[in-house]
Order: sequence, then structure tokens, then C-alpha cells
Amino acid sequence: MENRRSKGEKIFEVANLILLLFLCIICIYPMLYVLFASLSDSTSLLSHTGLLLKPIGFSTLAYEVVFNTPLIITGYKNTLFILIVGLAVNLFMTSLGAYFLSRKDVLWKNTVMMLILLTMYFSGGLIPFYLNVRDLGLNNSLLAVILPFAVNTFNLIIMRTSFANIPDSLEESATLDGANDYQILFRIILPLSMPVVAVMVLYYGVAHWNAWFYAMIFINKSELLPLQVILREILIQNETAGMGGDVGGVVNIGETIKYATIIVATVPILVIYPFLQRYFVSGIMIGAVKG
Amino acid sequence: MKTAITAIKLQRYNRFSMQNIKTDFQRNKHKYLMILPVVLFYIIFCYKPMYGAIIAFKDFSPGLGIMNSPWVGFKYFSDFFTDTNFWRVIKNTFLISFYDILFGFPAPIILALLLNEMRHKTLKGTIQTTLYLPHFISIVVVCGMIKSFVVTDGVVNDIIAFFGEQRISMLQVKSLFRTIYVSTNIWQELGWGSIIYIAALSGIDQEQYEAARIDGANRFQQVLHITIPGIAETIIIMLILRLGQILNVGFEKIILLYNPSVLETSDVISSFVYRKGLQEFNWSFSTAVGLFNSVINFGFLIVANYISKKTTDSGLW
Amino acid sequence: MRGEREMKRILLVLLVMALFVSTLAGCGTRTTTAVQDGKVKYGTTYPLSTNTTLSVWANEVINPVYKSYTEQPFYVNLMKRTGVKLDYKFPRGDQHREAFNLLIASNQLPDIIQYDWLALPGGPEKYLKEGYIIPLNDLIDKYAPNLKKYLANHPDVDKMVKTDKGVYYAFPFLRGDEWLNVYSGPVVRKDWLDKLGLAVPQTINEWEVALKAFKDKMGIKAPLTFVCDYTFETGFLSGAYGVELAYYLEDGKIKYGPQEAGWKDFISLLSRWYKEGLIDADIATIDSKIMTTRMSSGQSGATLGSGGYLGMWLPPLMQKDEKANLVAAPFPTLKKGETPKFGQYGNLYLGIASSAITKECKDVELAVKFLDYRFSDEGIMFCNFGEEGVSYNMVNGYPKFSDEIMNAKDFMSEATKYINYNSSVNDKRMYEQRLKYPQQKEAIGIWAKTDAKKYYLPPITASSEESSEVAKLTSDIDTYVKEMMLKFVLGQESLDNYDAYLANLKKIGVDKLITFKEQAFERYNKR
Repeated sequence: MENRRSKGEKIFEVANLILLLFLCIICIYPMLYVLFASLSDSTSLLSHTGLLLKPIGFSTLAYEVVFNTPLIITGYKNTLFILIVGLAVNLFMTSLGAYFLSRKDVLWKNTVMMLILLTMYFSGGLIPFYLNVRDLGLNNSLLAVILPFAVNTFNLIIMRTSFANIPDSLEESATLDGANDYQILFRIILPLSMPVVAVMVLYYGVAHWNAWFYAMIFINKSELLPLQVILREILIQNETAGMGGDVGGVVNIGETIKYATIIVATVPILVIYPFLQRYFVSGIMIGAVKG
Repeated sequence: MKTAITAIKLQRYNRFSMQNIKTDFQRNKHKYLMILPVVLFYIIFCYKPMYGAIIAFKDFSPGLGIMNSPWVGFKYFSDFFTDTNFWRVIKNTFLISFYDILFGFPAPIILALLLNEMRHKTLKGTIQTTLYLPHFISIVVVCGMIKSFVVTDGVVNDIIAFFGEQRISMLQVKSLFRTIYVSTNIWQELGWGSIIYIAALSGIDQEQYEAARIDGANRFQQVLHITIPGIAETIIIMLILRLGQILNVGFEKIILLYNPSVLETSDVISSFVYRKGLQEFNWSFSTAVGLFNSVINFGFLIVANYISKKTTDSGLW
Repeated sequence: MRGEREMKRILLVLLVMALFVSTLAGCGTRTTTAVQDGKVKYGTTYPLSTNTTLSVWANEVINPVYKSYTEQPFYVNLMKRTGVKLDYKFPRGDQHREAFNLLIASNQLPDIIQYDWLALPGGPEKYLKEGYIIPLNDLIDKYAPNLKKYLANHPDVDKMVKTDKGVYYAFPFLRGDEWLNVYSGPVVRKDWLDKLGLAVPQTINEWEVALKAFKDKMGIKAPLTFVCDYTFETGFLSGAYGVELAYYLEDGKIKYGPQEAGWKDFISLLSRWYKEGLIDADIATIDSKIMTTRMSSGQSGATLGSGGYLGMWLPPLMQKDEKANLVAAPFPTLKKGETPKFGQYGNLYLGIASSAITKECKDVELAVKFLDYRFSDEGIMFCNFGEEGVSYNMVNGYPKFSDEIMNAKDFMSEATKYINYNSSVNDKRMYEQRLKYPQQKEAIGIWAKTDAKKYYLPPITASSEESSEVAKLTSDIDTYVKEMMLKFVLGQESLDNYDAYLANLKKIGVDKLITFKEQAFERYNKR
């Protein structure tokens, strides 16, 4: 009995690993392509056909152009600010909302949920949104890309679902012990919800990091522009400029810069996930229920 | 989990009875206080500008402003419904979305389950990180890659030729468009989409597995009876939300991949509106179509939630 | 008595001396060929004497080397030369359409908006009608002598920059020379032709021979490639059959190529070439990126290119093979020796980057005078070449860019620190110096040898009542034509069904659109 099970299981495990490794290969190839292309000689890259398995000719010119742009530093700074302040606002507001919407005996819960859901579907469009933010005085400030996006309804629902899955017994015994709502949320529910909090950090964090459209609309001052906008502007400038077959040495750097901007934007995110990963470890709940 | 008694209590409570409101407020005062900032947020940033939806019923001109633009009633809606391409884009949008949900929805779940079965923790982490990399590559670069793979001399055709078949220019074959679109969607979003399920998996009580093993259940049975029920609610909620976005097939990837020879299967609502926008930049038209989209999407959401409540007792509200 | 006469004589001498000195002083300050108006509010010469700041919203890209436009030499010098302080706002990134609409909707307009007025739906007439920008006729007459003179000297341009009702709405961005109107056309691998002993093809038959030779004798899989979307607007290949994918003038009537007789012959040609493997098998999916790969790696031998593309493809080609050569070919004709009926042809006025004055401008006279600077001889030189002695030097009467610019890693990145070529009248000498390869320089001459100008439809505009219907018809027809063209060429639709296609085209409303255009053309001529 036991041996047969473990043999079947072993085969499964090997097959699983092979499948996952295959997936890894097809998922990492695009990123490697981007990396190699960004380090390639721009002229040779143009005539390259087929798969890219290493940089063609080695050239860091694209990165030089990107990092020689003085606004890159302010770009990183602004994005970091948006990220930190934004995440704080997001987590705070979303937790409050998720707590309320996940409690059992609140009379107006479903009404509030419905009203919030409606906002996911119906909106006034760009112009009223823009005028609204502007009238609130947020124009040309980093808050313009933080406050109007304080809560993402999709994320709110995910967090609510997760909060609702925490056994009632915990809340009941805490109430019996005299805990108020704030203590329940911050001392019991949140610590037990670290996986979903990690997901929130990831979802909101990546959204802030990649934000460019609303930044472009609301912010005009160069020093306040976040990273992605700066990268886009570098790309635009070099694409139109490099197309002319101009006099001078290096042309066609538009392509390599396109790839370099992706690497520059993505590497910081890749660094973060391993830190969040440990929150996805199971077994956090056991002690709580038992206790 | 939710106790059945409280659920019935809620349903029977009259929200507008002053007596009930008073009791509820006394008991849940702080909860209402906590939701206040969130409600304020939605009022200020979502409801206040919502009046702009009336652009769909006006001949909007940014110069005149929303209030002063003339009313045209359902003109733009009827323009859309009577356009020769209307049925084509509706059909394509539904079909692409349907296949995307049919294949693309379970894929991250299965991946999460497979990853969960891995024993080696560090390798598991590395694999996870690798798998969500494609999510971060801009759609322009991704489509450039896709195109280079499916052209007559691309990698995919190399594989086809290796097996002795004819090379085909895949993006010129209208019956292949949906396949290419959906499968590359899965490729790009598989890893990132599995994160939520991995998080949900970590919330399952490990003791249940112990108990099941003692009872003699094999791995597959454990997955079937513990793992999947354990993340069932997450799956259901995600499915309802996904169905509530059924008409949202984004225009960027479509525009980057399609060409006039495959319009029949590739033209969707968003790409159609985008093309009109290039020529006309008609805010009213795109707002009207957007409103139509929202109404249909919301309808799907309500139906999906209703079915879910009836069959599994969990849902969005 | 005598003292008085003496006094008068002395006064006279002093007066003459004063006049003499003042004209000497006048040589120091920059004078434009301004006609004295009598207004001395800002002076009649640049730099104007004023303390007012003008606010401008312009769809321009600052050189990324600078943190702000206040550091970029072009803007600094512009302010210095005109004497006017400027407060610029730019739409960031590439979202200028949205940014413009938000600007108008927000009702916080700057003094001047520099944008693509002609490309906007409803056109400039709409914004004039709604009062957002002001008509400039009187103002130009009184305060803009440079623009006035330029338009008087170029009556064809004058028609282009007005509305049908004869209203000037913006200081236009113009091409200063016909030479600048042609920049794209067929390109072909000359080294391959040489190897095969063929001359640069001039007729359709010669093209077919060359493409066949590429395929059969050199094993090229995609001899001819192109981007379907815009290639046939130039009349490449189709011109030999008397048509192009556009609306054009012929015998006083407006015609649409895809419904004329020659279109069927042209489509049949393409379809046959595709079947014989002379055209890229992936032709429907070819975009500019893939076209570049095809041309620069030697997968294709010919395409519809441009001066810019030549400069882009020659380096990678020559990197792999020193002898590689890409040259311009003339637009092919049916019979040898004929002049091609069509070719790529642009317009001296593109309707972009033009500066309109908004209703919020408190000092319109200053705004007009400021904008007029860029139409003065000096202003034109400045916008195209920058500062003499810094970014260019006059060498035998020719403005030659500095070594720094000519030898820079990226010409435009360096040059745009000092120049802004999209803001006044483009000087062809600026573009000439941008071209590195002799093939580029020769290309324009080869591509310009067509009759395209004869058939070219000037920039007519739809009236504001018609504009949305015109736009809808235009996009529906364009989509259908391109869809059917590919279907015929790829063999997905049989040419036996060509008549059904024609009937459908009529059903969609092509004749109605032509009527609209003919009415617009009449209005244009009356401007």
C-alpha cells in the first residue's frame, strides 16, 4: 500500500517539476530577451532575426542614456514617495473597509457593498474626474495620484473575502474579553491575514510603481513626475530622434532604450517579491484557532 | 464560517425600521465610524464626478463643457447599435472573453495547486518569481515578440515545419486569432494571477491534511476534498468578478496584433471604438458605448452573484 | 536776428546729427523688416520692451538632458530674443490628445495654445465658433508684418492656413520648401540588382523581373515587403494603373482610387505576385518594426521606405556586408519613360504645431508680436539653426551646424538643444545636413519626379455640421477597403467577387463622401 502510493506520488512530483520548469523557461525567455536586447548594440539588434539568446555585441549605451537623464533621480524619488505614502493610505483604508464589509450583523453592510460595487462599473469619465481632482486643489501634486486611488474596489473585495473567512469564534471570544472593534481589527484579524495583506502590498504596490497615465494628466512640473513618465518621455524622444538616419555616430538607439526602460522599471519589483513570499506560508492560523 | 442563523437574521431585518437602525447603530457604532472615511472617499472621488456619464446622452464638446453641451438622447447608442460592425464586435468580444475565462480562469488556479504540491521550498519560490515576470513586460514588447514567433519564419512555424506540416502566417488566419490571443494571455498572466490563490492556499489548516492522511486519503483525494474546498470561496468571488468584466477586452493588445485580414474575428468593442476615436475623437460615442458595456457587465455580475448565492451560499453580497 | 538764424542752423545740424546717431544705434538692436505702425508700446523691434509674461501650452518635447525648459538654450534664447517672458506648459508623455481636451474642458486656458488645430475633429472652426480661440485677421494685419509678408508671397499657402470663411486662426507651422514635401518612396537593394545584372526597376514589368530574380536566383523568401496600412496612399505600384489609395483630383472631379477602374488591375497584380511568392507571406501582419527587421537583415529586397528609413537600414546592412547598398527607386509606371502619375506628396501646411491665441489672452497685441518673431528672417534662422557661432556658422552663405552637433552620437538630441524645427518655417538646409548618406540625399530627387502634385487634393476641411458624418464615412470606407484589399491579395476572397466589393463600397456611402469633399473643395477655392 504505502510503496505504491509513494511511487505514484514520486512520478507525479517529477512530472510536476518538469511541467513547472517548462513553464519557467517560456516565462523567463521574454525577460531574458528584454535584458539581452537592452545590452545589445542597437544597430545589430535591428537586423537580428529569430530568438535572442545573448546580447548581440555588448553595449550599455541605452542605460547610459537613461541614467544620464537628470530627471531619472527625481523620477525614482517621486515614485518611491507615491509608493510608500500610497501603500499606507491603501492598506489603512482597505482594511477599514474590508473589516466593515466582513462583519456578520451589520445592518447596512450590503447596501454599502452595492454602492461601492456600482463605482466599479459606472463612472463619469476622464473629464469630470480630472475637474474634480483639480477643484480639490490636488493638481500638480503627488497626492493627485494617491488620494483619488485610495481604495481599489477589486482589492477591497479580496480583502473582505479573506477577513470573512476568519472564524467567528475568534471575534466572539475577543468581544467577550472586552475588545473593541479597533483592537479586533488590528490585533487579531490583520495579524492572521498576512497573506492577503502581502497580496495587497503587491497589487497596490505594483500599481503605484507602474502608474503613468494619471501622473501625466495631473502633474506638469518636471520635478514631480514619477519614474514611468520619465521613462516614457525618454523613449519618445529617442524614437523620433533616432529615426532620421542622422549624421553622427550612433543612431537607432530607440529600440535598445525601449528594453532598457523595462529593465530599469522592473528590477526593483523583482527584488520585493521574495520578501513578501514568506507571508504566503501556511499554518499561521492554527495557533489562533486552537488558542 | 458564516453561521446560518445570523444570515437569516440579516435577511429578515428591515433596514428602514427605526428600531432596528437604533439597535444596530448602538452595537456597531465604531464599525460605522471605521467605514466613514471609506464612504467619504467613494463619494468624493467616485460619486461626485459620476454625473459625467450623461455625456453619453449629449453631443459633448470639451469647449462647451458637460452642462452646456446639447442633449441628443439615445443618438449615440443607436449609432452604435445600427453600425454595420455592431454584431461582429459584440460577437467577437463575447467569444474572446468566453475562451479567456474558460481557459484563462482555471490556469492560475491549477498552477497554484501544482506549486502547492512542491516539496522544495526555495525552488518553489524561485519558480514563482520566474513565472510572474511576463506580467511586467509592456504589451508593446510582448506583442512584438508574439508577432515574431508566429510569422512564417518564426519559432512556432519552425516547430510546425519540423513536424512536416506547412508553414502558415498565423496572424492572417482568422480562425487562429482567438487562440493566439487567449493562449498568450495565459502565458503572460498565469504567474501573476496565481498569487491570490497561493495566498488563499496558505490559509488552509494544515491539520486537516494530517487527519486526511491518517484516514488513508491519497494526495489527489486530499486536493479534492481539502485544498479545493479550502480556496473555494476565493475562486467563486474571483469568478464572479471576472464574469462582471466580460465585455472588457482591452484594445491595446487587439490593436497590436490584429490586421485588416482578420477583422472578422479580432475586432472587438474596444478596438472598434478606438478606431473611431482616431478619426473622430467623439467623447459622446465612446462614453455611450462605455455605458452600454457597463450595464451589460453589471448585469452579468448580478446574475453570477445570484447563481452563486443560490448554489453555494457565498457571493459578493 | 542773426543769432536766431544761427540758432536755427545749429538746431538743424544737431537734429541731423541726432537722426544719424539714432540710426547708428538702430543697427545695434535687431530690427525686423517691420513696417512702422506708430505703436511704441513694445517698440517695433525685437527684443520687445515689456514685462508681461505670456503663458503657452505647446505640444513639444523638452530635450531630456534638461530638467526644465528654463534651462534649455532654445527657450532661453527665444525669450531673450523676443524680449518676452514665457511660462510654458507641456503635455507630458504621449497623452497630448487627452491633455488638450482636458485643457479646453478645464477652462483655465493659457494665452497661446500651440497644437494640431487642423487635425482636431470639427477643426479650428469649432473652437473659433465656441470662442476658445480668437480670429487673427485684423491682428495679423496690424501687428504681424512678417507673417503678413510671408503669406502675401505664398498665396497657395495663404489658402491653406485659413478657414473656409477666410479666417486666420493660428500662426502656422510651415514647410519652407517644396523639397520638404517628398520624403518617402520605393527603395531597393542595389547590390543585389548589380549582382543579378539588373538596373534599378522603373516599370511594373521590371519590378516583377527583379523580384522574381531575388526569389529564384537568390532564394529570398520575401522579396517585396511593405506596411499595408499606409503604403498605397503614396500610389506605389497602384499609380501605374492610374490610382492610389486616397481621394485625389482628376479632370476637376474628386475621385477615390479604390473604386476606380485601375484598382482592380492593381489588386490583381498584387494578388498574382503574392501567389507567386514575390510578396512577403506575412504581408498583412507587417508593421514598421518587422519591416525594419526584413530590410536590415536581408530577408527582403525592396519596400516602400523613406529617407529616414534609409538612414536606419543602411548601418545594419553595411555592418554585415560592406557592399550592401540600398537606394531609392522611382515610383514604377506601366510603360517605360512615362512620368509616374502618383507618388508620395505632402503639404506645405500640415496643420500641426500651429499657435492660436485664446480668449484668455489679455494682451493680444503682445502675443501676436511675439508669435510674429518666428516669421522674421532672423526668427526663421533661429528656429532652424540656433545661435550663430554656437550651434551653427555661416560658411559661404550656408548655415553649417557646429562640429558638436554634426559629430554628436545623436544629431537630433544635440541639435534640439538649440533649435525647434517644428515651430516656424522649416528650412530645407536644416534637413539636408541631417542626412548622412548620399543615397538619402539622392532619394528625394528621385521620388519627387512624379505628377503627384497635379492630382493632390489640398487640405480641405469639412464644415462643422458635416464633420462627424464625414469622419464616420471616412473611417468606415477606409476600414472596408483595407479589409477587402488584403482579402483579395491573400486569396481569401476570389477576384470574381470584385463587383460585390464595388457595390458594397457604394452602399457604405463613398459617393456621398465624395460629394462632401467636392463641396469642401469649392469652399476652399473661394478662400
